[in-house]
Amino acid sequence: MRRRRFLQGLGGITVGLPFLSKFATRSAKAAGDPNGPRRAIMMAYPMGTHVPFFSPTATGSSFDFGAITAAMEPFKDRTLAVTNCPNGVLDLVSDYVYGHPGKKESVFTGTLMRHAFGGDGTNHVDNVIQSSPDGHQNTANGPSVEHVIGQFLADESHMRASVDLGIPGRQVGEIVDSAFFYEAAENPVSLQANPGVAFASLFSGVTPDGEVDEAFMTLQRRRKSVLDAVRDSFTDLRQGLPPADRAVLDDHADKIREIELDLQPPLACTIPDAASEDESAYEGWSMGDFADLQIRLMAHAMACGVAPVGRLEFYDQQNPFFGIPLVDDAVATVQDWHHPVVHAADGWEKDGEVRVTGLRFFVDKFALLCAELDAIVEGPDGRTALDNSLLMLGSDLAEGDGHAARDLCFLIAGGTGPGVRQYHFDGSGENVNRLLNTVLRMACVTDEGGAPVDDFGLQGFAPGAISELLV
Amino acid sequence: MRGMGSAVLLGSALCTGCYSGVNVGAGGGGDTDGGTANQGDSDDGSGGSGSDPDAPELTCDTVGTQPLRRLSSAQYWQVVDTLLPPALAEQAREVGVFPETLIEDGFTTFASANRVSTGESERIEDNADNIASLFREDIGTYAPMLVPCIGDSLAAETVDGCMPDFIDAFGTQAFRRAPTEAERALIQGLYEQVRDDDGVEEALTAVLQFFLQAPGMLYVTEPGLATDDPSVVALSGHEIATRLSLLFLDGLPDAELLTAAEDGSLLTPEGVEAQARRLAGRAEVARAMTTFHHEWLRGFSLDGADREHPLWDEDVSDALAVELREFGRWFIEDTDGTFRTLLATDAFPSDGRLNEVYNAGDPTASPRRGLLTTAAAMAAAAHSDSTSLVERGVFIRQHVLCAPVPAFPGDIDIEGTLGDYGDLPTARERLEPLMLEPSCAGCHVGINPFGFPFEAYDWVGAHRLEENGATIDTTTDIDIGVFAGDFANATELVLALSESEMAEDCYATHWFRYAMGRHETDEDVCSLEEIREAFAASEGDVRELLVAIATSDAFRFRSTGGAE
Repeated sequence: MRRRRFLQGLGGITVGLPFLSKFATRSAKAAGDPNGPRRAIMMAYPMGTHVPFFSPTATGSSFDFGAITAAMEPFKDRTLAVTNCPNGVLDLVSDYVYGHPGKKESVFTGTLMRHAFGGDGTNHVDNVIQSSPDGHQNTANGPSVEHVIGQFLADESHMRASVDLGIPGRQVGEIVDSAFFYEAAENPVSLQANPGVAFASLFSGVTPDGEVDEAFMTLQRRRKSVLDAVRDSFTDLRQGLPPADRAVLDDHADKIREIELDLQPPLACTIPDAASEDESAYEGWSMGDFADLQIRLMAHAMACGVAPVGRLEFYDQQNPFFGIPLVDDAVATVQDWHHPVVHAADGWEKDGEVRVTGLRFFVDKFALLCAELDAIVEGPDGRTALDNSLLMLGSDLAEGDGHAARDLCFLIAGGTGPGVRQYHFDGSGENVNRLLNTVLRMACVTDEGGAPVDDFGLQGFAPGAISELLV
Repeated sequence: MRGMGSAVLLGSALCTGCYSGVNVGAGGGGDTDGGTANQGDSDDGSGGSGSDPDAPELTCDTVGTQPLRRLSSAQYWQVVDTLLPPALAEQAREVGVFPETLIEDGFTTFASANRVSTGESERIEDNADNIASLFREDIGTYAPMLVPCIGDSLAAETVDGCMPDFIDAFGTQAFRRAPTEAERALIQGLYEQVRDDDGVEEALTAVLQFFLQAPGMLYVTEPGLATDDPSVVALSGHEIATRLSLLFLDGLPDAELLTAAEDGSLLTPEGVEAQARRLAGRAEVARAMTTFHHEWLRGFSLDGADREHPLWDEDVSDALAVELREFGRWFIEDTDGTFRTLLATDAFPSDGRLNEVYNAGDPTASPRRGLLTTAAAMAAAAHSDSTSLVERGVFIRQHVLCAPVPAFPGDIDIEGTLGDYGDLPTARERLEPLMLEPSCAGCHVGINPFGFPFEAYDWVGAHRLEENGATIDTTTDIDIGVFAGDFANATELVLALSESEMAEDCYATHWFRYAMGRHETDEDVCSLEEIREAFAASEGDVRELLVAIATSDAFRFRSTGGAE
């Protein structure tokens, strides 16, 4: 079986991005911070939650989880809940007040969509203009936070820069552009939504007993030679072209380079059961079924050290099939689940059992990811893959009715890095940008001079970290 | 000037006159393509600043900046069909995973529709790998077809001897120009490396795998020829040949076009016109007609569509999905090929699968006329179980008349906004109140009147007289200045559109966008004016429109866009 690549590659991304170039990479340093996480995994879901049921009962270190977050109880000692956190950048553009524009795009990037910037798109608060989403340039104007973490944590042991999996709502997909996660401005991450293709990409070339498949390696050799030539031919072709054209070719050549980097000997590690690439194998699957499988693949891949960053995204906000009869039977009566139910319209009560059960689903799956990682022991000290990771769960909205983004809720879990601990923080006096700066601190990301990165996202908007979280 | 066109479309007219022209610098050493704009970088010779009396001359002050385009998926497969032996090409489509071009804006020819994401770059590579593996599995059959020089021998010395000529010939076809020395060396090096590692069969496979994803094949690069204006380059003969072949044939240049590129005749407007007229007469021009009209009317929205409708079945679904393509083919092959006929004809191509749709209701109440009232056009602008008065209105206003439409405000609480009006039986009754609601009127006053007449056609395009038991009122009163009138139904409206200079200009503008793979800019005003005037002078002959585009400055020159 050949490996079809779908994951983000190492290198190349920083070309032309002075903002990113100021970050050090771990490989460029003598050693990473031994107290920092080995990896970061982000999980994103659409349409928000019900804040009172998401919120723990009290702030500080002593609390009980809410009805929606109850599944995190086994990991309570390693879970930081942040609630009521405003996504302040959205207030800069009046068109973002209502509806969905800009909300997914900003929550992990801390910035607005490209159309909201003048001129060359400089990602600075002084360059924000009042502009309506226009069907173009409607992707984020900067990278998301985990991309920066990934660049920092990446080293030569990783096969690739990230593992990016999409979770279908009811039908198996393949490559899906992320709405939440970005490698750079206007460059959304590609998510693999076919678990079989994901499995093949991550684990093919390795037999269950860890042997390397020779036929696979022969094919890889030919592919590598061809890709070398293809990449070299870009160099010749770009001559004499305008800068904009050269940038297009360079971008494509960078992506070829990413594919080449994927053509590495497979890592020897424990692999999960194979998943089928045949789409018909997924007939009748629910979003829950897809989530369980993609989460398992993610946990194993990350524990194998495939990449320093993982992304999981529930991308169907229209009409997912949860695999929970209570929810599915009820929402089958409406055309699109998300508007009448999540927006709590047409008589769907905000705290009704159907709605809360559907919203709890996403936290349940985050807890499943924690459990999968916690079951993998890494090293003789007994620490688990969860202990050595930084995990974050977030959504584009807070309360789905009204498209509110002023009181977003997050969960951050793991067992390393400053601040990740049993704690509930009311973020009503803060904003998402400062939370993202804080997450970078939690991952021990520094710039080339070893200083913390405190102005992530929209430059000049809300620098600094949330000190209460960093203990 | 022909009135309203430029003002409506571009807002300003920077170019109203003509000037003495920009001369291409003298090329080196008898290379009829002349010097490239990038001095010293190319094998084509050096660009220069001298003037050549035979060189292309601009008639407009400015030309637009042309973004780098990549072949659309349809064009890619057309090229593969030409390059590979037929049996292999047929199988290639079965195993191919080349990323499908998805329109976000404009047409599949747009640069923006063919930007390469990470996922797409992987698919491009996978596609080449899959096809090459197919070749490798039956190399004994396919290699002699691909490289006739080897006969039936795959001995290393035989293939070695044929490889340079193969690289040159295959590369010239694939790249639409001769490979540069650097490219020849690169491909030869690939062949030799893989041959030494894994044998000649793997090496030949690797060369094919390279070509199927080579940037020289995928991208339409246009370094151009230096002119005495540093902000403008003239396209070389091969570059014009590529533009012509993509516009008229949706594929590779034919032999005569390549000859014209070689002998320099494409550097003159007369030479381009001669080739454009020849290509406009070729049967393959139907490909452009099918693609353009399918995409102009958003026929792609019917791919895989579902409709809750008693007439909906697999046959109807399939027939609707191809109806606009078939209309485009029929229009150019079986009618006089004029804009008026396109919009006003009372004849329609039919294979019978849509008979029930076309005979529903009372077809005589609002007789169908032209492309805009085809069932597919109506079904494309509809929801799964209802019409979309707004979508149809936007389409006519924006895409048929090129009149501006305010940006869609995003997520709208439709039910809340409609209030009690949402329970009224007809779409018109439900949406007319929005024309009086201050927060909605800004859009709906300008959109709704264009949609009212088409309510006579439901969401599979079948005629209907009633909606929810209430009679549908198809009358409308439109006044956007140069296009105005009272119309009783869609028939009257489309007949007026077929006579409208504004609509004719808009149609020309859309063909310009299709041909150039981009939107028009202020720098294109002059070229567009000339194209529209030529189109009008030809009585709306669409073949002449394509010739006018091909001979325009915008087609034959481009702004350097800051090339260094």
